Amino acid sequence: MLAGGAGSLALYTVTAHPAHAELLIPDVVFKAMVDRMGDRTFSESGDNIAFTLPTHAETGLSVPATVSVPNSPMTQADHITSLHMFTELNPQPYVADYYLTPRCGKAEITTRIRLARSQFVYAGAIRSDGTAWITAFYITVNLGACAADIFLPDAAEAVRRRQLEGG
Amino acid sequence: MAEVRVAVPPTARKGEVIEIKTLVSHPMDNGFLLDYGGRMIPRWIINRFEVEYNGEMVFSADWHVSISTNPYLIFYTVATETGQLDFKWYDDNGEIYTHTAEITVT
Repeated sequence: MLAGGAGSLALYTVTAHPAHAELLIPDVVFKAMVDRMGDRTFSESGDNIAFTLPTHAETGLSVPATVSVPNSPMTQADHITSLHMFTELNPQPYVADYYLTPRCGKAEITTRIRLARSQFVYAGAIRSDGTAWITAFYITVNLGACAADIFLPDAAEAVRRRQLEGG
Repeated sequence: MAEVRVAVPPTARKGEVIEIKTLVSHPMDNGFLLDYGGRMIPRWIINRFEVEYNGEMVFSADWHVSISTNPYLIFYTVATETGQLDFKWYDDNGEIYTHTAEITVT
């Protein structure tokens, strides 16, 4: 259930999993989730989603990411219909949407993503009964992928500013 | 033309979950970068990926600009019957890259 997010509030919270803290979702990511996953009730995934990323990446150009729902039986009655990834601070919040069928046999995908800077990356999964799970992972990135500014004349300044920002 | 590399096990037991690895050489220009002359490089990415197993769609994906250059993907499917897997990648310029893999199920 949504708790908050009215008016100018920039953060949304989703239902807390009993074993986990509440997840705060920035406005931009929440809008992307509604756009790609539909206007539905999002719940904190707890142990349902296994979202595997390195905790630190030297560059954000190519970061391996695995999203899986290890406990899903992937039968006609109970399977994962889609897996999603979103980022908070990339120029666009969308990363990828994967549409699965029971014939996949295993709800898992591995890919490589771009990250502009240190940030939270979000993963979502939709189950065949309509349940939507969300999880987040914080990754630190030394040099971002959208490094247009490092090719400009004030590259040194841009890199210094980036480091100050912690990105 | 993008070069496509796909790894599908040539044989599998019926009902076995097989791992499929795909790699496409594609620049995946995200539209935010400048070239050395300071001009914007236009967006050019693969935005859609589809897999059909003997004509039935088993897996598909929508990709956005945050997918890396030379997109790499591992996913799984159940080996149900002998036949072929058709892979299709669609890019922004309307090009379609295809690959077909044969699989023998015993």
